Amino acid sequence: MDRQQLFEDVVSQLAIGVCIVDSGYNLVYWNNFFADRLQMPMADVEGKSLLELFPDQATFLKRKLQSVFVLKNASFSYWEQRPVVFQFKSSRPITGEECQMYQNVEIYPIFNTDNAVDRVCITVYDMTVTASYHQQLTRLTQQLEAEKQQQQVLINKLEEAHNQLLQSEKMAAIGQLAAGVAHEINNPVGFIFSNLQSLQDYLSRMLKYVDLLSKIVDKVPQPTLHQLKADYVQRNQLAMVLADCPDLLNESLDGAERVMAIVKSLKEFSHVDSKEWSAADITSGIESTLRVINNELKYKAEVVRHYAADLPALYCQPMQLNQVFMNLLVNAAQAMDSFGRIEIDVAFDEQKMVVKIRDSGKGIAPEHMKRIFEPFFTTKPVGQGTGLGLSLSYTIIRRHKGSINVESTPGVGTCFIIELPRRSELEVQQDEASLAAASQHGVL
Amino acid sequence: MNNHLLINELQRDALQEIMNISMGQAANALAQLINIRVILSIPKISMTTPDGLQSFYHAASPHHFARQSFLGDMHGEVISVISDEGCKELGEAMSYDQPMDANSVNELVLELTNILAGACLKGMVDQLGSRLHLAAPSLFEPEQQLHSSYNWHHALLLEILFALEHISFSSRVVICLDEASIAVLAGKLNEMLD
Repeated sequence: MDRQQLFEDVVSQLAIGVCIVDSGYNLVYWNNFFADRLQMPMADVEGKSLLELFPDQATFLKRKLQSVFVLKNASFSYWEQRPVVFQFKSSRPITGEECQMYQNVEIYPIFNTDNAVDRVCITVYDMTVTASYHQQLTRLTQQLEAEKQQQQVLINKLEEAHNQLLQSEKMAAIGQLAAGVAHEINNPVGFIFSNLQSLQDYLSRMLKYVDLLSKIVDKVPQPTLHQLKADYVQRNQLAMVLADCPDLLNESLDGAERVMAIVKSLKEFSHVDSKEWSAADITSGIESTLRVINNELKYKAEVVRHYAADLPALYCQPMQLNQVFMNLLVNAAQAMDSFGRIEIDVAFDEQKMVVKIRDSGKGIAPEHMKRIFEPFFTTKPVGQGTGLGLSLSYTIIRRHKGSINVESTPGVGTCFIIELPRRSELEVQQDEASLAAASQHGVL
Repeated sequence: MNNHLLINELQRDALQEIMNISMGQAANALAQLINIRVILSIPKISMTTPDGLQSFYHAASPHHFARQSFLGDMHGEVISVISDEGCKELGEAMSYDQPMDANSVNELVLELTNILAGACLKGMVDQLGSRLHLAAPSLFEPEQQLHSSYNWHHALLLEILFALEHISFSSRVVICLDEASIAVLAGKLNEMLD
């Protein structure tokens, strides 16, 4: 076997694709690698245009070949950017997932004796194994990344749930304390009030009696006695005392009545931890809330109510909703730079109830709008806000299948809009049951 | 650092002349391949240190970096810095499939690097009567390079700026030769000068 025959034999059997074309891009030679994989023996394709044999890649091949002929330098193509140049079947037709062979292609000039280039050689390397390994690695990395993100979401949810639990425990503790205090105050205030009522009755009788006695004395013709009475009245300023007595009692009664009303609200509100569902009047919840936070509101804003007439009852968790109203109203009051106005709208239609709480406060900065419902987000100074109020409110409204939205213009004011669907007792029970089932399956 | 430490004034002038001629040839070849007139700067010859090379990577606008090594009686690397701006237009002119995604931009950057490096080196090598083989180019990220681990002290840089007519695009190609190759280059230049 001569040298040339030997080389031809070796090249034809190389595990690398070898293909030679002339300056017209016509095929001069390709080895078995090409012939076997394309089922096109050398004899069938010799002299044919490479661009016509591979029309899909004609533009690419032409550009590459041209650059090699012009520059007389090698040119390259990689599987990362161009996986398939020649339509070879995968090198792993049985066990591989790839249906085509990934290829690296190198095209280099062949110099003739005049140091000119009239032919170029195209070599094709099978990169399927590398590519497949690389892709698996990429997929795995992406999968890990996705799982990591999911875990982060779960961690965040867990943290949120934990914080809300803490907050609601805190509220429950405050509620119990308030209930205890309210109970203790309620008894003494009760007897103070009823005693004052009796006292008022007695006093009016005694005043009449004093009046009668005074008139009788006046009728006795004894100037000394008259003088004595006048001196006594003068000395003890009895005229003023007698006139003032009913007023004092009336004011005291009024005060005691107010104390009783506050204690009643406090007792109502002390059930904030109550998650009981019942049909309730939304406005009475708002009113009870307003009484509790009256002190925070009265020097900050005037409260204007627009309640729709004939408001139906809503099947809800009244105490939970009260907490939402309290959070929004306290926030509204705190947003006031000077004495302002808080408007409360309650409206309804067939499907839903809409509560709007609008304040004339300083508004929310646009960059904060997206974050206000996030747990721990607060713009209040350290120690004044937990950053949980709105987050908790959001959760409560979501539990009612409702929505809470906010519109705000810095310097003009903010409006919170709560929409609560009017669900029947049955619907609520079904929703709650499915929620309980979900939480049993570990879905937060 | 003295620019003339490793090659003398005479050799430097000769190299400059060779580069000027090569660039003219490169510009013609490129115009033929890219179908756009190419504007080349006069090649700048300088010496650098690892720190100096690092500062070369700083670019204000987004750029792609690629490198390509060459072997032969001289060896070194060609580093190309190609602006992201203009890549899409250039791809269109070079009949890349449109629209171009990140992958085809990468392909374009690699191809441009190969063409520019080939064109620049070819003329130089031919005139010096030397032979070189260019390996495949690859993309790289300069921030991830640990230049403290470079095991060279000085390198010769031949820097050429490319621009295109009517397209806002720029690229820099730097041929870097290590110390051993500089000695070979100096020898070749001496032969020519004699």
